[in-house]
Amino acid sequence: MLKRSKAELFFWQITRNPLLVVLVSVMLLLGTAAGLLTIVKDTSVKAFIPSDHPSRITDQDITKTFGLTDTVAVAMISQDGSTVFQPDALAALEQLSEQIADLDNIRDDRVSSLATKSSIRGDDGAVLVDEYVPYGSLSEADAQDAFARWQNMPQHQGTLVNPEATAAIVMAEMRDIYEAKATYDAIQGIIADLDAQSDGPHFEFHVAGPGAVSGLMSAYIDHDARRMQPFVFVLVISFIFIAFRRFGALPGPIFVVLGATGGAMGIMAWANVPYYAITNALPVIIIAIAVADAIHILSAYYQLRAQQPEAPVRELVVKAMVEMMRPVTLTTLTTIAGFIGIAVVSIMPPITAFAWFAALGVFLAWLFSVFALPNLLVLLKPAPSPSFDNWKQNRPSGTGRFLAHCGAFAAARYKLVLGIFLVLVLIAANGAMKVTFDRSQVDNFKPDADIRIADELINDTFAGTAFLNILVEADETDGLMDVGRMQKIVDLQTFAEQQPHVQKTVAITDYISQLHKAIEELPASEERLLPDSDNAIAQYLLIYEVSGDPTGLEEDIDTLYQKALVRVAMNEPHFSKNRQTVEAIQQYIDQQFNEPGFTAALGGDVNTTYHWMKSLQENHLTGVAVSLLLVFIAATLMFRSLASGFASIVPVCFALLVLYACMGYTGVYLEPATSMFAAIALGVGVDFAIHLVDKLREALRLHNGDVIAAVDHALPPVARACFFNSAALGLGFAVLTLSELPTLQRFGGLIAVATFTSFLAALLLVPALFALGRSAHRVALAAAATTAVLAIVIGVIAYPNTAHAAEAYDGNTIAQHVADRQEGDAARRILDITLTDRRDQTRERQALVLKLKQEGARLTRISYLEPRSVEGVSFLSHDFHSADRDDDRWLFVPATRRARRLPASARGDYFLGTDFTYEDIQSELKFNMDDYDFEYRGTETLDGKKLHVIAGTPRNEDIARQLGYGAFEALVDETTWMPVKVDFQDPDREPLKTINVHRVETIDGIVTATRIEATNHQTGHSTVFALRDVSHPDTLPGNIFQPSGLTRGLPSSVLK
Amino acid sequence: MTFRHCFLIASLLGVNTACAAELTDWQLPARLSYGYGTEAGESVHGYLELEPSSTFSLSPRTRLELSARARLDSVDELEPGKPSLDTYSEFSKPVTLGTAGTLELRDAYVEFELDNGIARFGKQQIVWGRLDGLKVLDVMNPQSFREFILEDAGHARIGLWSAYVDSTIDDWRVEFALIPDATGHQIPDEEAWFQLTAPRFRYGAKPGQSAPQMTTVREQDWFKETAAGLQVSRFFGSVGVSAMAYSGMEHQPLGRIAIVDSAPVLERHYERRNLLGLSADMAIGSVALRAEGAWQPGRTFNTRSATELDTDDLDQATLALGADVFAPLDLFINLQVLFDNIKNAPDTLVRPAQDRIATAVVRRSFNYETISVELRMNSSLNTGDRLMSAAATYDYRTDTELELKFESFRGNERGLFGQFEGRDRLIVSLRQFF
Repeated sequence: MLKRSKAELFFWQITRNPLLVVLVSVMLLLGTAAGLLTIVKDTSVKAFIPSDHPSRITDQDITKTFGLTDTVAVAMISQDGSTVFQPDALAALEQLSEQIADLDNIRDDRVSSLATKSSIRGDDGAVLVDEYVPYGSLSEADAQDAFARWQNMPQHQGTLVNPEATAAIVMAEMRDIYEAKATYDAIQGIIADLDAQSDGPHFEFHVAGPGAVSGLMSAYIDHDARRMQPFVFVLVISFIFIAFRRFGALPGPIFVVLGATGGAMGIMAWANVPYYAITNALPVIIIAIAVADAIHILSAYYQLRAQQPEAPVRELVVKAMVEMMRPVTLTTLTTIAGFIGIAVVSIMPPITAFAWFAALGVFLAWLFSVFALPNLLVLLKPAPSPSFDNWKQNRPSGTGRFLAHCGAFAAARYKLVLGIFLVLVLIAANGAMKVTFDRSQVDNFKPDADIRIADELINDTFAGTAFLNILVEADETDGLMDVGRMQKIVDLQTFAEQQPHVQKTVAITDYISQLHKAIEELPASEERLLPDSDNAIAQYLLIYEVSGDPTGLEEDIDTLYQKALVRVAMNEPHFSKNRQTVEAIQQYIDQQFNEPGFTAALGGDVNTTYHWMKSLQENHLTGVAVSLLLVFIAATLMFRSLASGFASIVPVCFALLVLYACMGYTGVYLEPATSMFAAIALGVGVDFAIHLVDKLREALRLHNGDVIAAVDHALPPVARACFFNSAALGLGFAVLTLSELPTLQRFGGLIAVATFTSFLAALLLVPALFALGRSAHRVALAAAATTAVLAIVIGVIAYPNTAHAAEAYDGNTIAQHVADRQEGDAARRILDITLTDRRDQTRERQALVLKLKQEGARLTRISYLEPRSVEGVSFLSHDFHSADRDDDRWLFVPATRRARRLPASARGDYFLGTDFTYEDIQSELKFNMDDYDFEYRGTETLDGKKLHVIAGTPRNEDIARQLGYGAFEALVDETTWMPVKVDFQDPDREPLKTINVHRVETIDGIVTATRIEATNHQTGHSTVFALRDVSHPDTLPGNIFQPSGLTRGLPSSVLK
Repeated sequence: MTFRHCFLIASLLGVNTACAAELTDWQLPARLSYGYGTEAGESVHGYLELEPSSTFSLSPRTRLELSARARLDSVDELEPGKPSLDTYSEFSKPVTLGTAGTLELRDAYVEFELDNGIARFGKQQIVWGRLDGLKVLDVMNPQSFREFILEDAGHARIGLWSAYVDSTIDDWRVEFALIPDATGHQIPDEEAWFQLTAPRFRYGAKPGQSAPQMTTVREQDWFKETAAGLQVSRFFGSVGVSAMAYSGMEHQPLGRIAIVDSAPVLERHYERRNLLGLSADMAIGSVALRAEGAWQPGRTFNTRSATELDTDDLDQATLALGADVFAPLDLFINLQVLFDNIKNAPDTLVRPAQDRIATAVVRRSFNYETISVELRMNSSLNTGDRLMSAAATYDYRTDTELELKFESFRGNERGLFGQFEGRDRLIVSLRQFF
C-alpha cells in the first residue's frame, strides 16, 4: 500500500464522517447568516467619511444645532415665463407647501417656500415681518405686494424664487433618508393632483434636491441590486450546470456560495458593521469567487471519475481535493491579499469594510470548499459527467483541447503574442491616462431620468442645490452679538460669493442687514449693512422674534447666539468643478477668518464629497498598487519562484489596465462607486493565472521543460475550468448592465470586461511567458521585464493621473486659475504704445492707465499723454460683472470740453487704433469664463518652460461675433497663471492675431505683464504695450472714474 | 493802445511773473489752411493759425492754464478788413493784427483742486449740454460764426471771464458758474464770406436788402450783465441726468432802430434770457441716446412789421434728441433732431416760429484710425435747405494731420443753410503739433 501524503491523510480524516461535517457546516452557515436579521443600513454619502473626520464632526454639529437634515426640493417653474407672483400661482404654491408638510417623512417645521417665509421691511422706523402669502384668499394686490416685498429681500432671491420671478421652490427636510423613495413618489402624487386641478397659469413641477437624489439612488441601487443578485446567482449556477451537465454538480457549489456569502454578510452584521451602498456588490463578488473554487474541484473530481470509473467516490474526492488543494489555497491567499491591500490603505469605512468582508468571504469559500464540499460529494456521490467522457480515453474535452491549442499557439509564437500584448498595452495606457477623478451624485441616474432632469433644471433656475455649509462658532454664549464678528461673517460671505459656481450665500447677517435697513430706513440694496453697535444686533434679533415667527431664524443662529450657519448655494454638483471653491473657502477660513475664540468649519454635502473624493484620489491607486504587491508576494512565496510570481500577476495587471482604459475611453469617472472595480477585478481575475501557472509548473517538470508539451498536457482541464468560471462570472456580471442605473451598468459591464480579459490574458500570456523563459532561460527576466513594463505603465498612469486628478487639470480649471489671478484693487501704469504697420512705419503713443475694482464693476480710465495731437483724450469704462447690465463708456476730447457717452457694446472693437480690442484691454489677459468653453490640450515647452495649453471656443455665435474671435489657443504658465502666448482665430476660424507676453514682473505682489505684443496676421500690423511706473495702490479716488472726472482732468496726486 | 491792450499785456506779464511756477506742459499746434470757393471760383481763405497753450503748476493742487490763438489770413475773405469785434466785451476782445489777423486769449484761468471737485477762475469755456452742434443747453459761452457752424465747436467757442465751481456731493454733481463777461456771438461783418443774410439774422430784412449803419450797445454795467448758471447731475442706474438753470445776456443781439444825427441806426443790443433745462443720456447696446430740453420763458425776440422793428417777449421750448450708433461695417453714425417752438409767435416774428433741424454724421476710420472719412448733413426740415460736407483726414505722422474737406449749401436764401447757397468751399489743411 502506497504511503499516503499528508494532504491525502488530511482529506481522509475530514471525510471520515461526512454527514457530521455537513451538519456542522450547515449550522455554521445558519449561525453566521442569522446575523443578517440584525443588519443596519447606512447608504448615505456621509458614511464614506470616517466618523472622526473633522467634516463629519462639523456636519453632526450642524445637524444637532440647526436640525438640518436631508432636503428634497420641489420646483414650480412657469412654462410661459409668467411670474409666480400671481394669486393662482401663490395659492398653488401654498397648497403644495402644505401638502408636502403633511407627509409623514417630512418635518413640517422645516418646509421653506414663499408660502412659509416672511419678508422684513421698515415703516417709519418700525419693523414689519410679514408673510409673503397671507392667510385667506389672495388678491392681485396681495400678489403685487408680495412681489414688491420679495424684491427687497436679497436672501430670498434665487433661494425661494428665481431672480426672474418665474419659478418658485419648496425645500423640505426629510426625517428618514431611507424613506426618500416613498416621499418622492408621494410628492409626485401631490404634483399630479395639483396639475389636474389647475386651470390657471401653467407651471411645471420638478422634484430633486440632495436628499431626494441620495435617497433615490440608494433605493434604486438596493432595488436593482436585489433584483439582479438572484439573477446573477441563477446564471452562475446555470453555467455550472452547462459545464458539468449534471444536477448533481450543483449542490456543492451552491452550498459553498451560500456558506461564503451568508457567512461573510452575517458576520458583518454580527460585527455591527453597517450595510453601505457599496455593500450591494459584496454578495456578487463572493459568489463569483466562491464558485470558482467549486468549479475547479468539481472539474478535478469529474475528470478522475471519468478516468477511474470503478474507484470509490471517497477516494476520487480525496484525490481531487489533494490535486486542487494547492491552487485553490493559492488563489484564496492571493485574492485575500488583494483585498487586504485595499482594506489597509483606504480610510473610507465602507470601502474598508467591503475589502475586509470580501476577504472573509473568500476565506469562508475556501473553508467550505475544503471541508464541506468534499463531504457533500462523498454523501451525494455525483454520477459521472458527460462533459468529461473524453477523459475515459484520457482525452480532454473539446473545449479543453481548443483552449489548450490557444495556449500552445501562444507558447509557440510567444514573440508575436508578447508583441501584440505590448501594443495593446500602449493603446490601453493611452485610454487609461484619460481617466479623471470626478463625481456628481446625479450622474448616477440616466440622462433622461426625471430626477436628473429635475436636478439640472433646478440648478439652472435657482441658486443651486449643492450646499456647502459653514459653521461659525464663538467660544461663549452671545459670542455672536459682536459687530466685528458679524462683519467677519459678511466678509466671508463676500469672499465665498466670488468663488466659481457660488450663486448665493445666506446667513444671519442677511437678516440683520435687512432689519438694519428697515429700522434705519436705508434704501434697499444687495449690500449687507450692519449696525454700528453690538447692542443693536441683539435688539434687532429681539425685534424679529417679537414681530415674526420666533423660530424663523433657527436655521441660521442657535438660541445661545453662539453658533451661526452660513449656507453657500452652488449650482454645480461636480467635484472637479467645485473643489477649487471648497479649497479657496477653506484656505480663507484658515488664514483670514479663524482666530482664538471665533472659528469656522466647513460642512455640507459638497464638503463631504470633496473629502471623499480627495481621500479617494490619495488612496485609490496606492491601494491597487499595494494589492498587486501583496498578490505578487503571496504568489512568489507559494510558488517559491520569482518568475512564477511575476507570471501570475502579469495577466491581471493587463486586465486592470484594460479596465482603466475602458473607463478613460468611455468617460467613466473614477469615483467611489467605480473605484472598487479595480479591487474586484483583481480579486476575481488573479485566479486564472494562478491556476494556469500552477498546472504548467507541474507539467513542465513532467515534460522536462518542453513548454508546448506541458501546455498540451496541463491546459485542457484547468483552462476548461477557468473558461467556465470566467464565463459564469463574466456573464453574471454582465447581467447588471440591464439595470436602470448607470452605476450598476458600469459596474457590471466593466467587471465583465475585466473578467474576460483576465482569462484571455492568462490563457495566452502565461504560456508565452513560460516559452520565453524556457527558450532563453530568462523566465524571471522576461516576466520581470514584462511586469515591470506593465507596472511602470500603470505607475506612470497612476502617478501623473493622481497628480492631474489632484490638480484636476482640465481646460476649465486652467482658465479659472488664470481668471482668479490677483490683479489688485487698483492699478496705475504708464503705457508706451508702439504701433507698427506692414511697412514698418511706427507711431508712438503714451497713456496713463488707471484701474479700480469696485463691487460689481471694474473701472478703467485711459488718458493719452502723448502725442500732442491726442494729449488729454481720455477713455473711461465701467465694466459691470453682471451680464444683465451693459457696460458704460465715455470719451473725452479736450477740444470739445465734454465727456461723450459711447455705446456700450463692441467689446470686440479695436481700441483706439491698436491691435488690442476693448475686451483685451479690460480683461488683463484673463479669459471670461462665461464667454468660452475650454479644453485642455496638454503641455508644451517654450523657452525651456513647461506651459499648459488650453483652447477656448466662444459658447455661441453671438459671443464670437461680439468678441471678434472664433477660437483661441493659449499657453499658460502655471507659476504665474499668466498666458504667455495666445493665438486667436477670427469667427471664420482663420488665423487672426497672436498676443505674446514678453515680460512678466511681480509688482506690489501682483503678477503683471509689462510687455505685451499683439500681431495681426491679416493686416501685418502690430502693437506693443510696454508698461512702466506700475503701481498697485490699495485704492484710487473714485471720482476720477466718473464722467465728471474726465472733464475736470486728473488730480495731481494721480498724475505723479 | 487801449485799456484792453493794457489789460492783456498786464495779464501776460503777470503770468510771466508767475512763471516762477513750474511749467508742466505746453504745446503749439499750427494749422495751415487754404479754402477755395468752388462755385464762386475764388479763394476764400489762406490762413496760418497758431494755438499755443501751456500749463503751469502754482502749487500741488493749483494750476494755471493759458491758451491763445493767433491767426493770419492772407486771403481775408472770412473777416475782410479789420473786424469790428464789437460783440466782445472789453476784457475779451481779441487783438487785431493789422487787417488780416487776430490774436485772441482763449483760456487764462487758475484751477484749484478741491477735495471733491475743482474751482476755476479766469477766462475759460464752460460746456453744458450733451448734443453736438445743436446748442440747446450749451449756452454758457458764445461762439464765433466766422465760418458759420463749420468750425469744430471747441474751436468756435469763445471763452469768457468767469468763475466756475464743479463739485461732487454724495451722488450728485453740482456745477455753478458766474460769468460777468457779456461777450456775445462773433457775427461776421458785411461782405464776409459767411455773412449772415437770412432775415432771421438781419432783423427781418430781406436778403439783398442793404443794411443800415449798425452799432452795438452794451449795458455798461457788468453786474447787470452777469450771467449765472447752476447745473446738477447724477446717474439713475445707467442714465445720466442733468438739470440746469441759467440766466444771462443773449449771445445773439437784438436790433432796434435809433435815430442818430437824424439818420436811422440799427442798434444791436442784448437782453437777458432765462433758461431751465433738462438733459439725459444712456447707452443701450450699440446705441447711445441723448436728449436735451430747454424752456425759456419770456425770451425777447425781434418782430418786424412794415413800419417798425420791435421786440416781443415770448416763451420758447426746445427739445433735441440724438443717438450715436456703432453700425455694421465699423461705421459710426450720429443722428440728431431738434424741435424748437416759440409759443404764440406773432406773424411779424423775424425768425420762424418753429425750427425743425436734423443732423446726421457718418464716420469711418481706416488703417488703424490713421485715415478717417466723415460725411455730414445738416438740414432744416422747415424749409428743406441743407448743408452737406465730406471730409477726409489722414494722420501722416504722429503729430501731423492732413485734411481735405468739401462743404456745400443748398436751399432758399431765407433759410438757415440756404442763405449760403453758392458759398461751397473746398478746403485743404495741414495741422502740425509741436
